[in-house]
Amino acid sequence: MTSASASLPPLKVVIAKPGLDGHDRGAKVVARALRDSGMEVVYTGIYQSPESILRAVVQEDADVLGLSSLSGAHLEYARDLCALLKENDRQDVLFVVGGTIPPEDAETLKGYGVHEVFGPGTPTAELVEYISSNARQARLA
Amino acid sequence: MGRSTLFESDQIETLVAKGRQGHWAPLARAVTVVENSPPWEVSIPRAPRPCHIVGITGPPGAGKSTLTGRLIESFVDDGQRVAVLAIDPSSPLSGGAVLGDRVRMETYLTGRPGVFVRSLASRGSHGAVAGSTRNIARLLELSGLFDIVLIETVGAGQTEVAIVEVADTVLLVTVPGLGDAVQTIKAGLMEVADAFIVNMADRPGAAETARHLRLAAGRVDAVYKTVAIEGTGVDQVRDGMYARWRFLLEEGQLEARRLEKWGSDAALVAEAWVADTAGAIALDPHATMQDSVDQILKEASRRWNR
Ligand code: B12
Ligand SMILES: Nc1nc2c(ncn2[C@@H]2O[C@H](COP(=O)(O)OP(=O)(O)O)[C@@H](O)[C@H]2O)c(=O)[nH]1
Ligand SMILES: [Mg+2]
Repeated sequence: MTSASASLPPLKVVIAKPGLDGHDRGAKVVARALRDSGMEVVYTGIYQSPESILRAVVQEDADVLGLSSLSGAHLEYARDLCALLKENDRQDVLFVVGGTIPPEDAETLKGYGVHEVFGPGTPTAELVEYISSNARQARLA
Repeated sequence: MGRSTLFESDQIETLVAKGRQGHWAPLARAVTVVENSPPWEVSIPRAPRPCHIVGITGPPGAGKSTLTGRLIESFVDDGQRVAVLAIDPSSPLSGGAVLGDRVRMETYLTGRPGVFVRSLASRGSHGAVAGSTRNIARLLELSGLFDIVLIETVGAGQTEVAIVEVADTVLLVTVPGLGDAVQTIKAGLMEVADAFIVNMADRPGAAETARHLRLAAGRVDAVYKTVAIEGTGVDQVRDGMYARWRFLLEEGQLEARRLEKWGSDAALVAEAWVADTAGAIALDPHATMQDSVDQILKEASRRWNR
């Protein structure tokens, strides 16, 4: 009917860094790229537990959860988070993981319920494109 | 006419029942619905019991988020039920936002499952900001799940005035060592503050800044000094908020204050409606300003009555 009501609301994304991993450069680069494409990005900061990440996803009513892990502990955290999301009725969130993820772990992550994995050197345009085209579908499915 | 009641009482009952068990998803979803609806489409029933809506504003970097985290700790450990809305600006270029307030509050959320924290981007026009923030605060109030709602806003740009429209009490956070601190705070904001907080009192000049503030604004209840990173002085702010709330309730001030805002509430919704209409119609750039205003108002009125 009118301009404001016609366009879709911005996607809400939670970017989280789990555990004892201080590498926050990638998370911040990704957060800014998503903001610049019109998304609303909640950054949780470093050293988060699965429980605090879940709390952010739930309370922020996020469409997307992006986990950034460069410590090598991605498998455990992603597995725990998938279980918590399920228990709390939020499997509808689009769950993506980035950072130093060995290619052979990508399939394991997807087996847990992660939708996509992005390693070092991924152009930010690629992440933006993936998230904008898949987020709403995940939520409606 | 673009109006509807978004929430039926059974929906409210569900989200309240879930919220009581610490399952925040339904309440969070309801907040999104309000946030994504233009303010004229939202109609939230009046809450049977009010909760204290406290605005926390001040310049970026003054320590508002850290202080809000400490206030969560102080209120919750004193038996209060707390919700927080943390507003950060949207980028005018992309419309996106990075919402970073939660980072500073995380520490105080662990082990306090009754706290609900929501980050909001300021989005659109001033009227729309105030409209959706007020409606979200009302929804939180209506849920009956909270005794106090803290709203953090950046004391710059459009949201600074909006907070006054929404809050029962406005706390203005500033810091020492900004030269003449009083000058750095927008005069309008000084006038609407109910209390001042000089945060970072671990830095030199705090006492002097507090003195300046006391002189500059006669009507404020109090000037507090805090060190948010250590938690110093935070319980005093909390106790001041209890006293303030008793005053608002006992003297019938709350009712008066909220009723007084009814006109400006309606004006804000009207403003958002008119801005929305103006964005949707083509104006002749060679017309006189009066003619263009006339065209906008006529079209806004036509659409409203449709
Ligand atoms: C810079 C760096 C540091 C800096 C970090 C600065 C900071 N604040 O971030 C410093 C010097 C502090 C550092 C310290 C350490 N580091 Co270091 N570090 C690196 C290095 C060289 C580059 C990381 C980086 O910033 N890249 C640039 C960003 C933009 O890329 P990115 O994070 O990969 O992000 C991209 C993608 O992965 C993806 N992405 C990332 N996150 C997300 C999230 C989402 C949602 C999405 C969609 C995509 C996405 O998109 C981004 C854009 O393409 C890497 C080597 C490497 N090749 O990655 C080692 C590396 C990560 N570090 C390593 C190690 C071991 C350490 C230390 C333990 C060293 C030590 N012994 O002290 C410490 C630990 C610090 C800590 N507290 O965690 C190892 C980790 C090994 C592992 N995984 O098991 C690496 C891989 C080096 C190596 N080959 O051994 N490090
Ligand atoms: N020295 C000192 N630093 C503080 C204090 N309170 C907050 N900070 C720091 O000030 C910075 C900004 O704080 P933040 O809460 O994000 O400010 P906001 O932008 O007003 O929300 C952070 O690095 C805090 O750790 C304080 O009382 N003393
Ligand atoms: Mg802040």
